Amino acid sequence: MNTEEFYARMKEMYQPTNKHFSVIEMPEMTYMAIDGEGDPDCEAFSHAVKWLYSLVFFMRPVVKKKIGKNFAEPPLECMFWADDIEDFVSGNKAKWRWRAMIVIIPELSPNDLFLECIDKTSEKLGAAPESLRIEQIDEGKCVQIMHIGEYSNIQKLCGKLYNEYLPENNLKPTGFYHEIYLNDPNRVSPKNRKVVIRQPVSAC
Amino acid sequence: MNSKELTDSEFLVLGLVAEMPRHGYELEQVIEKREMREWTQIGFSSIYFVLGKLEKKGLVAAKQPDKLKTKKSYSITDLGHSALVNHTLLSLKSVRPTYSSILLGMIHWPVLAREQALDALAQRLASIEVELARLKDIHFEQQPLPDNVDLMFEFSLGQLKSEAEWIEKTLAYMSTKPWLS
Repeated sequence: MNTEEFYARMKEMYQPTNKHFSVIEMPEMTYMAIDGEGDPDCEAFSHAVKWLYSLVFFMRPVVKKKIGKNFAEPPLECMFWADDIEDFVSGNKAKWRWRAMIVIIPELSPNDLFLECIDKTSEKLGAAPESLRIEQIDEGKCVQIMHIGEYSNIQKLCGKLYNEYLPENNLKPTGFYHEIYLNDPNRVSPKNRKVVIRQPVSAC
Repeated sequence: MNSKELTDSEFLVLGLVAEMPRHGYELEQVIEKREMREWTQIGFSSIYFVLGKLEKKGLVAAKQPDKLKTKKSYSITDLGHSALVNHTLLSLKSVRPTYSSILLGMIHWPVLAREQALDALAQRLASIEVELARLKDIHFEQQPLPDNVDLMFEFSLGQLKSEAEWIEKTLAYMSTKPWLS
């Protein structure tokens, strides 16, 4: 997917309605990603996020120059899964695995820019996390919805997704559960925080 | 002072309370974490004093805690919101002069020996370089930042850079004037 296609579909991908679940066919996307395990409310996760945002910080001037006023700050995204699905469903976060990631536009992010930004970030933050990489992710058919409100209410909406919407529509989850954080929780009131909830699916 | 007018610290605190309801200690933490003392003067002990003044003006309202141990949380009132909007508009459109110490220093240049004056300017240039590096570090540490805040760094860095350029030019020019003893 090139930049033009990305911007044309940005609203559909990142601003789904909060009124009901909707189905989207996701194109293959390019992300900078860092993997980890354990409760995301931990030092390793914040460190991963700091790394990703620092890379964006050093990439931004180059990217802004290339795409000008259309430039939009990419949000933090995270995929969650567990080796044992029970740990995931029951919210046993100690057994979770996560992938913190930020989308980049492939043609704007040649490998040498990525490597250069890693060097600059290393100067400030030390060695890069081992799993840091660029990864193409093709989620295919997904169900998604916008969640607006306190993060602690997301679980309830997930219950609706997995226990009601998916079975009622003969769908089953096929890929990793995916959240996209559209606000900085330090600056936006809990009742206004927006998170896109996305789940790759296939027919039962 | 007119109750509609806001001091810089009142303006800052009002904006933070507008983001979301917060209690005094939380406000202090946010100011600290965002390093907002870079942008305006606000004393370490004055947050509660400022909150008290805003409450008196009816711009914020304190919610009495349900439990004894929890702290009072402040939220913005409708009046507070319109004061915030007006004051933000005013701040963006009006130019308020700030006087740099360089100005009076330049006026009194003749009281110094030439080498003294040139040396002092060179020292100022070195301080500016240090300040530039410090601000760049903060800019990095504070990531991610919303556009409006990110651009503030561009503004401040730009001002320092243009002052550094001016000093370099001035040093070069004044060095060629031996008669300015």
